Amino acid sequence: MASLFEMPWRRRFEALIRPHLRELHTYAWRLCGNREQAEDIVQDLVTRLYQSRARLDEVEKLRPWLYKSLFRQYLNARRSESRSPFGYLEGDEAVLEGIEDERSAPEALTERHLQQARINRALHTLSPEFREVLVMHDIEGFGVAEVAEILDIPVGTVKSRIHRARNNLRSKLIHGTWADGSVFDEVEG
Amino acid sequence: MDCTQTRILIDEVLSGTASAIQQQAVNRHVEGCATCAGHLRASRELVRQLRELPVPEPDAGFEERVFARLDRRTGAHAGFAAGFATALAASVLLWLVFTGGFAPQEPDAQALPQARAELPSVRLVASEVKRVQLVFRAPAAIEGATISLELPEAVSLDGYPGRRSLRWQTSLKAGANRLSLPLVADLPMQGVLTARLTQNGQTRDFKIYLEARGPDEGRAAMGNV
Repeated sequence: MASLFEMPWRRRFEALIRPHLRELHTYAWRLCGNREQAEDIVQDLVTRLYQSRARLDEVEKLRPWLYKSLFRQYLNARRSESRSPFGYLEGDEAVLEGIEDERSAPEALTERHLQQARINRALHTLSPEFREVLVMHDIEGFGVAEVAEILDIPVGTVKSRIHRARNNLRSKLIHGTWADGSVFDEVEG
Repeated sequence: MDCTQTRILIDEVLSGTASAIQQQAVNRHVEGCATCAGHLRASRELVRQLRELPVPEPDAGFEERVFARLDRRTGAHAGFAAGFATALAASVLLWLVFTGGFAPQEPDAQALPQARAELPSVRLVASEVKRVQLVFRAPAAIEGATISLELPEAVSLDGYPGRRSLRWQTSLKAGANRLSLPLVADLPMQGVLTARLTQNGQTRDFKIYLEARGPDEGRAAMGNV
């Protein structure tokens, strides 16, 4: 049974965390490409924050702080995965989750949806280092300095990774199996 | 400024970190370079499309599920999450059509070091639920398969305390079939989990080495948030 001491903390914790849960799930999904794993990562983060009695109400900028914490949680999950094939899924099969299969009903999909599926799949074939900066900066909208803070790397490294990640992604979209006459053809030649 | 330098600066422009002077330098270059002008357009379009990428939203009960699990894991709000019928447990119930079956085998203590060295391993923290996903890759759809689970001593599926043998019938789709197991160890332990897929008299075993540490030791090993 929860003690009287426990109840206020529990309520305060939920009040602070609940408004950020959905975007944290979205962020986790962007990183790992798998909805179920994303929920696991968020759940593990919430549990650890609660158990560690993290002083969330004293954090000056809670949103980037939570993103940073979630990123660390994601890294832990990734390390676990590398130790076991029965751990989290990542890669082509996982990234297809939630995206309509373009082979199953091509007439039902607009070109925009197809292009989004191509980008999503190409994004998840990037190395984790490249995918992380693109997810945080280009998709989630964090500034370069914020990304540096979240990833705990220098600003110059973030800029370099963004440059290389965009080039890599563009190259995959042009030369990979996902290209079929998109705006990216302009780059060629 | 050459094309290589321009393309680096184009990314700075798109990131909003380029100075006014750098921005002007890029503008001057692309006015006379069709290739870099195309690169700028394509890069701008790529960033726009990245920002518009859809992502599946968690379902409506996501927040409630997270806090219900939190309460079950931590013991806070006793009664708030009483019972095991959270969505987590429900997802397992979908698979567990039939339970019961074969007797669990005690792992040979001498075989554990070998299992630890040879099998994929998963580390647990005692009394904390960890979801492990088993992946059954089927070359073609399979009807009427049976999946059996043998759990080592002191390990159970969250919501099924004390039950160490589970068996159920299911169908597998072609490709990856994921089975999410919410494992919880009551005590620090070492052991082997065996998942067995049986179909038309043929069996295939998947074994995982499980090791659970005490809460303090386990959390220290996982690092601080």
